Amino acid sequence: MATRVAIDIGSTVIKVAELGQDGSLVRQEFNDRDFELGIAGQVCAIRERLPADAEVMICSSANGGLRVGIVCLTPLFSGAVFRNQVLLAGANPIYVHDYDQEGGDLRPVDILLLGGGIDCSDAAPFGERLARFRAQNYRYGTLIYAGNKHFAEVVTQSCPGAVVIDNPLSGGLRGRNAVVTHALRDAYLDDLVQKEGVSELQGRISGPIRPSPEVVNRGFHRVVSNRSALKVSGPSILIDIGGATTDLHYTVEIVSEDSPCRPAAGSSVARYVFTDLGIFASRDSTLLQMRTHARTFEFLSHVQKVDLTEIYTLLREGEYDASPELLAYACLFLSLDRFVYGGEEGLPRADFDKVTQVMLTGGGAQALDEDIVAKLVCLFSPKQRNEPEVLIDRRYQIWAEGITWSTNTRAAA
Amino acid sequence: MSVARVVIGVIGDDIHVVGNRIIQLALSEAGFEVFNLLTRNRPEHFAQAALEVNADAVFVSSLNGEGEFWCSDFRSHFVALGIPSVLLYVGGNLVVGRRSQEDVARLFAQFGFDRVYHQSADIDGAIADLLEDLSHGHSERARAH
Amino acid sequence: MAIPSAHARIDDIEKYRERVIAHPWAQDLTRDSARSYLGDLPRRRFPAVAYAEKGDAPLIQPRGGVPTFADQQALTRQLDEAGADFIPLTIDSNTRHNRYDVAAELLARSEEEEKNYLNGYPLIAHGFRLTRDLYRDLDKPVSLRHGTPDARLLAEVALASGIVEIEGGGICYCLPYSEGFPLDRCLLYWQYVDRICALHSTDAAPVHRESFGPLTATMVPPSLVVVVQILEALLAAEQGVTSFAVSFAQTGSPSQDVATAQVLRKLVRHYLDSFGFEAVNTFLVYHQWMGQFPTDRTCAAALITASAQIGGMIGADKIVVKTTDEALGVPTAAINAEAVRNVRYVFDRFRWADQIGSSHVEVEAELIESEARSVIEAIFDLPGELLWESVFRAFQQGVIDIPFSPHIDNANQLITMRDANGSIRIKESGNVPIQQADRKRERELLASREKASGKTFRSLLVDINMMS
Repeated sequence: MATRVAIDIGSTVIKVAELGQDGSLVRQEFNDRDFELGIAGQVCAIRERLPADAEVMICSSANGGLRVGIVCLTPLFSGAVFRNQVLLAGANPIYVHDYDQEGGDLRPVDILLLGGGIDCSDAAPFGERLARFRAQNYRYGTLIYAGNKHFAEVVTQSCPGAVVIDNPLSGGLRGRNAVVTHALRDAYLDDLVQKEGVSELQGRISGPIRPSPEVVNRGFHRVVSNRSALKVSGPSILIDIGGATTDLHYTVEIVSEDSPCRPAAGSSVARYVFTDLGIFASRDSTLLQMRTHARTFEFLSHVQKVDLTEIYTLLREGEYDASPELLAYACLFLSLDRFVYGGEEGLPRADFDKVTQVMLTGGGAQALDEDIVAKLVCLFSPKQRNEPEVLIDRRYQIWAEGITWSTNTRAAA
Repeated sequence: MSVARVVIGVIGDDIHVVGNRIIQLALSEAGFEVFNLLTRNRPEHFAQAALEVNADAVFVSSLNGEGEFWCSDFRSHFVALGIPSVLLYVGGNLVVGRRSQEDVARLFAQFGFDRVYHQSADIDGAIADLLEDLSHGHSERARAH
Repeated sequence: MAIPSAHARIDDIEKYRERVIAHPWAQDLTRDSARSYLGDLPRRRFPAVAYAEKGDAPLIQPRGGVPTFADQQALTRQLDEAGADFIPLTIDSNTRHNRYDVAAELLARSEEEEKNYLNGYPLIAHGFRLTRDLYRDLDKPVSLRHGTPDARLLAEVALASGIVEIEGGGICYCLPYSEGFPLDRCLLYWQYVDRICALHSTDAAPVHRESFGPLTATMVPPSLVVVVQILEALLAAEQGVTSFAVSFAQTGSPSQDVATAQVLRKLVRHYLDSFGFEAVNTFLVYHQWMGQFPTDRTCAAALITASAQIGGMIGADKIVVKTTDEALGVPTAAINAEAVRNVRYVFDRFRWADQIGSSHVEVEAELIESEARSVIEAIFDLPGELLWESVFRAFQQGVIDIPFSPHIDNANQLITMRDANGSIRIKESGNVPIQQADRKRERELLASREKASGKTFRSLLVDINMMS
């Protein structure tokens, strides 16, 4: 049988893994990105070294994931459906606005996703909002319209470059049709081709280049489905700590019954991304969060063995030069804090007592210590007898499980 | 004129589904387009769903007496979204303890509901009321708010 | 295309068990606790033995679970003395939702204040050692009744307690009981339960599994009940279970009950055999009316008696009985014992030499069988390597669509209604793949009723509450 090789193009490293037929890792190597050679050149060079008949699968987070801005009718319905579908496509929702958001948003996004409403011709409240909408208040690469189809023309007339796709909202208002996810996967590839010039790679690999977060989500799904060499025994979460973002993947049964916000329809695992938490590109925003957090001392007391008060003071004053390791602990702490106590828009609230496993993966997780992680995790389940088990994925096995798992069982949305 | 659209659902932490499904069926059979939010809803779910579908009416059910707790500012959620005149109906077992029909009706009228069906299983009556109210246009109550 | 087979068996079960019983609420449970205890358990505690020794009449199982040990012990004794053939152990809802800490707190309060703060017996909080004492001198089977999507730890504790009938399944304990528990995970967790049941079985003393056919107990068409029962029997057989009961609830139409029993027996055997599971012994369990019960005790008693008659007529192996207090709340032990005597009287006095046949029943049985076969074959044809994957997919696509399921992903497209005979008919089949001829037949049978009553929802309200 032909060799199977998986390549993950990251923003600083290109990871190459040789895999067994069952997805197990046979061997892997890490290559620093060669920015002069470019992604295509470097990956082609790697490809040259592999057997000609090798099956090569590639995923990428090189362009930091697709940044998507959402303008919708309501946060609980069209906004939630769009956000969930964007997340499942492995892209990053940067904001979710309604049409009347004062002054728009000037953070640049690759895609501005516009929509809302079910398909009906008599929708005056929606029509009025659409008429008030000014695309020039936003900075975006492509505008995609996925709203009430009777109003598509209003959008294409005012924004001639707009792409119109089907409306995911129907009777149940839960977005069973994953049209946005599909559109974003295609857009991701286009973006990669455009920014990184990888088009010549396409012909030399098996299948399309996929967004890394989507691959990790698949791997997580495989693990919790007991179809992997990695074993878990119950409701789980996986935190993928990267340079720019921290991704949270979770089994949906841990969402609290009274959480006002719910995960996507029909899917048994979900993803959320914290675009402000990370150990390199998002270093400053992560530190800022720790500076102002009420439980910073408690956090530090578990992480920092020496000079605790001194470091605490420096951190509070914004003068501490935190190590990537400390930042990774902070990403873990802050993600759990938002997941358990709520307050992050669009993120359901977790019933943390149900969690039996906390898994960590990604570049930021590699230097972490299981015991310290376990102590931080326990900060969120003080009364619980059942302390979640901590598992650090030091060989990127979850990613490997994801890139080799093909199943039709996975939910459409 | 197109078919009138109605949003229905159970409010609060109630998970009774039989009544909810029966109401859905009854309204569909009466010719309405029904959007069922199922269980565990808050007022904002009803208001936002009404905006998404441009609803003519909203039917709220509550069976475990939580209605009073959840509904007190019900109409204001619709006013805030710029859809103040949606017809609002509420039914089920709306309050805890024994209170007269009139008291309960008055209370929920203050919350902004157009029709109140406390401890009444008269779905036909509610549908007749809805048809009549729709023929008059929009909510009377809305003007008072 | 999924072919049910032993390939689906969990391979590394001992390691997996290690992880499950690492839970602090497992207390001092080890992987060997159950094995050593079950070896010495009286043979009559095993359902397979009870079924083998039974006479013509169905065995009788009441219901019951109370929080404290003392009360559960008293209840057990009373049910035993009243002549119950199976002793129930109904689990409280906090334990069902894996909230063991809460269950333990409420148990402590129930003990202190002598008032019930739980709606069943918190098995995990009590633990297996104490629970063994409940049944010290008992020589009949104990049946675990719950409704738990993730029953892995619960099943471990039950087996170690000497409870060797486990009710439930990945479908029947998810769709009627849960709003948001993902079905795929529930199916996987029940593979574990099935696997450990198989693991603790011997040829002479197999641990018994039973599916819960009533589902939502609200207008579920018999053909879909049959489908779910077959799927759960196959899923259990894949994991090595060799003693399995299928079940269904009184439909409200005696002829439909007779037909359902015939088809259920026939098709479960057929599908088990055709996939190489000839060794699995199957039994048929009948649930007395699971819908809204009459509040009037006289009417309730009449319903219990009438349904005992049907249970005898269809040749059920076991009947699960209701009480005259069903509509009023949790019955006392005395009321429970009374129900057992009621049904026992019927079984002692009547003989049902052979099942009553008529052209009416034949037509009904043909229809149920044809529908069930279409649906189950369609599920086998869905993509997926393994049966559970196809089952999950079937649910996502509305091929399995259970009326009145609270689950958020249930399709809710299938609509049923009773015909003039009181039988449950499929009015609209949604995405459930039933052949056109069968759909037509369902509508024809429904026609007489529809003309008379007009609106579906009004008829449906009457249909749901037909016994109250």
